Amino acid sequence: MRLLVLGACGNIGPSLTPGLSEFYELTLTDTIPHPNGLPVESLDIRDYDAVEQACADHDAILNLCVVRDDPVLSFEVNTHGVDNISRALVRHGIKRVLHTGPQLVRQWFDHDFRVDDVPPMPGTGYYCFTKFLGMEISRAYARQHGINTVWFLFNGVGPKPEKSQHDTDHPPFTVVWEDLVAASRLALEAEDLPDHYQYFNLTSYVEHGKYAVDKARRLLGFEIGERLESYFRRTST
Amino acid sequence: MRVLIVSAGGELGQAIALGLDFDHQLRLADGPELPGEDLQAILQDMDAVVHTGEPPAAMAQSPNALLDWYTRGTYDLMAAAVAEGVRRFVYCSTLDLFGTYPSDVHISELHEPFPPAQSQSLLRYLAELTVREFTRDHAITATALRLGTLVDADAPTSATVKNSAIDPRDAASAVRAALNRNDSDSLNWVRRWGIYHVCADHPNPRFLIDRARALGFKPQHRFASPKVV
Repeated sequence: MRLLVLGACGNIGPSLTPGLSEFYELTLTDTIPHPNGLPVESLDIRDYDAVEQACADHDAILNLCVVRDDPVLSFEVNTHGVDNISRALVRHGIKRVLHTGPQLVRQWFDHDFRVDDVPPMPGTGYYCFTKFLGMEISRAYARQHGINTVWFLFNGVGPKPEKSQHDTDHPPFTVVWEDLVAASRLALEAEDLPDHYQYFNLTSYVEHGKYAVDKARRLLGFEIGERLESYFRRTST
Repeated sequence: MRVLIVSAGGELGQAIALGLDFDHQLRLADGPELPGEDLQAILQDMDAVVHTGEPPAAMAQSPNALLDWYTRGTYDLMAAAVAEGVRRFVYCSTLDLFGTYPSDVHISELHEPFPPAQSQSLLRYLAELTVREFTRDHAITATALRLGTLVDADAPTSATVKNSAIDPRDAASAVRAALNRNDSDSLNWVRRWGIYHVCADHPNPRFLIDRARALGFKPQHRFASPKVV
């Protein structure tokens, strides 16, 4: 599969794409250089013509682009950008796209438990809200054009612990690179996605009983790789 | 009540202004954009805002400009309204959100909207969601009126009339009824936010308007039934 990665040089791409490169033929794009010096094609997703041109000869798109709190750029990248991507998918007949975004439930459900398959409640912060508009735009395209569209939503992403962590809790709503790679593969290769459009909350830590990944397990077959909570145990006295 | 009508220059805006003129103090705005800095001044001392959902004719009609107007423009308008202490907001959405449902389905406010991609109705839905999220987060009563297609019931026509048709005067009366909603002190955002489907009183209706009737909406203008499809 030839995978076009948009926003490949930000907080997620440099750690996620190495795990995908052994399975897919990647084209990395961004507006900034790659932190590890990998070759990157210059692409701003606000430019529809550039997005359409970049999508040519690819089978799937991975969109990692984000602007968080700018009152103008957040709309241009997180909302208009998804519209540009969606139009380009239609133009080239590409049927698979994976987007990432922020969790959209903590503002309302942080005092609850077993939070999984609930509707997004983005609120009015620029980051969450403009990403949410992008989700709605992509939903319309997915349904109308049969584009398998997945959104992965999480609060944090990073490496798994390498040694025991003492006197601290494990991070909420956070997914580790290994799990994100596995989930991304499942999403990019999914067949018969309900309504061609689904969003999934992702986390690698479920011991709290607060945020769950049952929907990703049910619809994608996702399983958390390693139970990382074991790194956070008290020492025996 | 002091009411600001945003994007007031179109057919709907003019009808709303006429319909509200007798018992409200109106301020009409119809600039090409919903400008951020000027919004505070326009909204000063207003009790309510009516957003017609119709972009000004003078505005560039490119897809990007329209997307920006409906999303960022509505966001900035809502943010300014909340900042200025406006307690009532009416947004004119559209029944076109349900165009993809089979024709034999009765559509009510419980049905999930499925606006098509690259459509005006998708843009209007994004603006509706924008208003909804501000209502979730802030002490403001907001009402989405999903209006049918505006058709002058008095104009002679041989064309068929859509089963969502509504006379502009009835649309204005729905806005008047929506302005009476005031649940801004409710802690439960579900009370502050309301959606109502609004069209004429059609025989064998596709769109059910019972909720709007309960709001006080009483459509006065009918269309010849044989022409309704």
